Amino acid sequence: MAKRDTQDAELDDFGRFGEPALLILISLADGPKHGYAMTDDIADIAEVRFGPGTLYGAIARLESRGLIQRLDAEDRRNPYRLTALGEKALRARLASIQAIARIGQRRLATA
Amino acid sequence: MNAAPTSPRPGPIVRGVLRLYPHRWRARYGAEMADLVATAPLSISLVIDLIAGAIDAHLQPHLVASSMSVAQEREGEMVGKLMKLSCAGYGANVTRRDVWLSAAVMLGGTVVFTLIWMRLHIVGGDNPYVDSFAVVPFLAAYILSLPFTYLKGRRRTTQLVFVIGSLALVIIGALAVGFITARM
Repeated sequence: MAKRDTQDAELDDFGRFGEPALLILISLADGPKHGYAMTDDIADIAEVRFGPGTLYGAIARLESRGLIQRLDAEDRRNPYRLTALGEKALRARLASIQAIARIGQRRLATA
Repeated sequence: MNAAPTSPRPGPIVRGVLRLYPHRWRARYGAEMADLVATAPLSISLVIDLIAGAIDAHLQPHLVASSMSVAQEREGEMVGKLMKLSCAGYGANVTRRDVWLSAAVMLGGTVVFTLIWMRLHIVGGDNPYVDSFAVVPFLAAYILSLPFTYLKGRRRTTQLVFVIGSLALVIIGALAVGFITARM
C-alpha cells in the first residue's frame, strides 16, 4: 500500500467536504480567488459546481486548519489564498492520489 | 482573478434560508454567500444545499471560531485572541462532546415529537390545530439543543428563560396558524 504522508492526513476527516476541499486547494494553487471565482474555476477543472453551502462548509474547514487564509475584501468579496501549510497538504494529497493511480494502472495493465 | 458579475440581492426564499445559519457564520461568510447565491438560479438543489450547510454550521460551531483564531494568530494578535476565547460564550468552549449531545437532542427530539404529533394526528383526524404543529417537532428539538451550543456557559436562569420563552413563542405561532386555518 502507498505510504501516507502526515501532511496528506490534513484532509482526512473532512467527510463529505473532502472532495470540495481538495478542489478548492487546487483552485487556489495558481493564486488567490474569492468564492465566485473558485466555483467557476472548479467547474472548469472538474465539471462540478458546488452549491454555496458546500463551498463555504469546505472553506470554513480549510480556514480552521490554517490551510487557506482569507485576505482583505474586494468590495463585498473576500479572496482566499493557499497558506504554506495548505500547499504542503495539497502536494502530499496529490502525490498520494498519483501513487494510487499508478498502482491501479499497473494492475489494469497486467490484468 | 476572475471578475465576478455585479450581483443582485438574493430572493426572499434564499434570504430566509441564509438566516438559518448561526449568527457568527453569517457575520463571517454571510455577505460572500449571499453574493454567490444571488448569481445562481433558484432551484431545489440550491435550497437543499443551503439547508444542509446550515445544519452543518450548527453542528460544527467551532469552525468559525477557529477560523477567526487562525487569522488572528497570523496577525500576531495573541492577547486579543486569548481575551476573545475567554469571553466567548459560544464556540471556543463548545467541545466535540457538546456538539454530539446537541445533535442527539436535535435528532432524538425531532423523532420523539414527530411520533407524538403523528399520534395526535391519528387520534384527532383532520384538525387544523394539529396540522399547524407539523413543523414544531424540529423547532422544539432545535431549541432544546441550544443549551449545549449557543447557550453554553450562560447562567441556568438565562438558559431556562430562553428555552421556555422560545418554545412558548413556537407554540403560540402554531396555535395562531391553526386558528387562522380553522377560520378559512
